[in-house]
Amino acid sequence: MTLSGSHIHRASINLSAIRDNAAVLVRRAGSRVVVADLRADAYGHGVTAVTAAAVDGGVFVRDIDFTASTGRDAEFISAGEALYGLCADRELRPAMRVSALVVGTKTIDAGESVSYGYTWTAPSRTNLALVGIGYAEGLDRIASNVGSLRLGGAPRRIVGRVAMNALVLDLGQDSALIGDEAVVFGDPSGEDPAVWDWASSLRRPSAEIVSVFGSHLPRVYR
Amino acid sequence: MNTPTATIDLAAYRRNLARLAERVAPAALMAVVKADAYGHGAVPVARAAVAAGVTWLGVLDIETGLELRQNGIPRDVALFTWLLGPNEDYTAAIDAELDFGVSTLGQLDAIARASVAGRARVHLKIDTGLHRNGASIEQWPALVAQALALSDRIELVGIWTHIAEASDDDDTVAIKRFRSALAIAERLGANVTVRHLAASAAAFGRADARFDLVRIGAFSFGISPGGGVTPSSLLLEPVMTLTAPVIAVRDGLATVGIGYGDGVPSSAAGVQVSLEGVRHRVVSVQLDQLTVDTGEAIVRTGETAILFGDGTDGEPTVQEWADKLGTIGEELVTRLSPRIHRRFLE
Repeated sequence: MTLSGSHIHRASINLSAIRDNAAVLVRRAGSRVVVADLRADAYGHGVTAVTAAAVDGGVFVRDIDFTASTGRDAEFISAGEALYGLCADRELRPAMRVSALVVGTKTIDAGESVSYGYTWTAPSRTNLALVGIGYAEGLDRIASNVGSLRLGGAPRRIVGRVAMNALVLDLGQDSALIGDEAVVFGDPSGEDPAVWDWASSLRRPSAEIVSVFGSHLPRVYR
Repeated sequence: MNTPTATIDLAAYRRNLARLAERVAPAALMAVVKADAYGHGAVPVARAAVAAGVTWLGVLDIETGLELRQNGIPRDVALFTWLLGPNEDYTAAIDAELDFGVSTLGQLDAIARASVAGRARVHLKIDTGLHRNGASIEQWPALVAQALALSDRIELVGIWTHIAEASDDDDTVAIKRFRSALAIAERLGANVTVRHLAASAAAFGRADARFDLVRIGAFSFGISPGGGVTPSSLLLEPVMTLTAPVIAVRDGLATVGIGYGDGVPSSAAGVQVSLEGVRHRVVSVQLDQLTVDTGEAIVRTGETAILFGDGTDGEPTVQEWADKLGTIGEELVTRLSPRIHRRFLE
């Protein structure tokens, strides 16, 4: 998948994180052979790019030369979640960052409602940001009125139902500009929320979250 | 078939469109093919819609509109876009004769700046209560006036909105607000021929919501709103059948080769799939497979499991899955990975 011209939403993949995670896993494995788990298009990260980065970090990939290159009697460890940085581990970094842009802003009065079914009503006058990502991109509909995205330096709750291609964030008295970036998750060593927090808030595995986002969003490699 | 496959019955899709077109007449029907035609495949579905006589397609974003033009959707078919980002290439979009659903003065000005060779086709959006995009009633007169002032570069084709479908009463309020916005636009000198408000449910159920054009996605794919409303009760046929192979059988459990990495929700334990016409319960969902409790039934590796289909062979419909999982059919079909093979039946 290529980057859409409009950049409204994206999954940004940090290949150096995958390479570094691979190196950490190889070091920890000692004499055992670490094999990359590349199922589901490398958990939505893109099998071609991930293969190169993982091999760079010293991890093996199952291909026709696999037995010859590793030795027949080697003991294998499969690297899946750890390779992609999906678990809280000081030495590992998450490789995927999911973000989308603010495409509209609005102020509504107390008593006014938001999105399909009017499942949320503003308790007081408040500012809203419309963000261009929805369940067709993999942002679960069960995040409606539950999940938060980080925007303008703070977590902002999703209000109203997540729609197919958009959702609304409540900013309270703060405001946002069209073009501002809202982050679903990324690298928590910076300011981004962690994928495992997003996943556990929805009671889904992190592997599912990244696989579904990665298969629907334009992927950008860095 | 030995790989996960979504079989798309384009004949059923065309029949749905024909029934819906008859239902909403004299309003015209826009077939919404956004989100890769709800996971059904935008290009084949758009071609089928055009073959069925549809002259409006809802594409959501400029990228999809350009893709459809490049794949031969003729220029006399209007392609309606409305998710417009801050950095759009409107020049290419105007060249491709796309229609734009515009909510702000900023969008209007960006389109006007890019519109040097011809007039860009614009539909202005009023917010009637959904509070996503659309101009507020306070912003509305200025937006209409600006579109009219730019008439050498902009053709004001339509006025539109989205409604919440929270209740009939709420929708009645939204329709009233829409009529007020239309009246304001007329007083300002707008002569708009395409007024549109309704999506599937309102288009189907309410004559007063139809205006000149209705935008239909879910119902065209045979996806009903749930809550007891089945596709067949609306005389609509589910278009997608999702199948996957049995890859292992052991101790009364069958392993089926499709999982949450393919877009089947991990929460799907408890839903049913069909094997040789018999339903069995899903026990668990993993990355690339799901485990099905087949009990005493004789199941063989290589058989095809039907996850959901049109229900005529006793298999679940996507509506049953959605009801069981507390969501809507649209989420289940759009969630499926683009890597799942799409097979098209003419």
